[in-house]
Amino acid sequence: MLIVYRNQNKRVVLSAFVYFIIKEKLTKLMDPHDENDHNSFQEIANTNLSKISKNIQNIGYTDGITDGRESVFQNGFDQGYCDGLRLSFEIQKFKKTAEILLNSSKIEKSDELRKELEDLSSLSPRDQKHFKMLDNMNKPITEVSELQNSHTSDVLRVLKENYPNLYDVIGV
Amino acid sequence: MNRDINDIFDDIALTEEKISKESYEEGFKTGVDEGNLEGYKLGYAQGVNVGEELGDIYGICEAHLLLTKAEKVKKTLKQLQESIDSFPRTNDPEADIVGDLEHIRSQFKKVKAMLRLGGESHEPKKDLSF
Repeated sequence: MLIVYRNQNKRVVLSAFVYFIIKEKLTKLMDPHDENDHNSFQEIANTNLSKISKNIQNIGYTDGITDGRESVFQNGFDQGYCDGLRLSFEIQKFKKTAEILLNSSKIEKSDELRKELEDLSSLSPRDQKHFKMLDNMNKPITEVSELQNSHTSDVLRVLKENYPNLYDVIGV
Repeated sequence: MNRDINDIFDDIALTEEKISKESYEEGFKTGVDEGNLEGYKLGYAQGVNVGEELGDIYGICEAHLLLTKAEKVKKTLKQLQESIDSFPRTNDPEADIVGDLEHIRSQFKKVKAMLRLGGESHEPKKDLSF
């Protein structure tokens, strides 16, 4: 049997000689007494093909994950930085002002103002209830950011509504 | 079967490329989802650190503006508040965020000396956990 290919591109030519060499070498790998040589060879070939395919898939998948992460990480970071800074700044400035005024004897404090100052002193921007991503892990980052900023605006509104005396004192 | 042998070899080679491409695209999509969340979480934690420090300093200025009567002190406190007000609120690559933060810290040291405040440290917190 002669398998010859010749075309304009002058690509592959596989001769019968080479074909039989390969077949002989493969045959030597198999048990000469096995009556199902062909089937065993087929199984081995399939197993090897499966292993190689899986390897290729794993490598491709890993490369994809790495590249995917790198393509968006900075953008996500920038968004998170902006949202975290806004929330913690707004809460902390009220909290710190309240702490100092509460402990100062230089300012007259009504009972209502004193209570407000005590409440505000317990605020913390690190409280997980302020971190909206924790409840929205499956949402796109733009949506998470909107929820975060909406929450921050709500917090500020509640501060203003619930602590009117402090707002009057600070003059905000 | 009268297929061209080169087409058969091409199929074998392209199968590998096809598998690789499909799995890469699947991995890329997963990577994008993970990268967005991880990036946001890290950025948020960093933003909270910076915001907390600035809010602290701003709150101290705000409180002492109410408590102090010395005009010189009030002027210094307001200058410090202005520095904080003009601090970039985004991670702007053109802005010198670290430099601005150091400048604010330096101004705050002077304020603490003027007000004779205690040694409360405003070293940046390294805790980025949430």
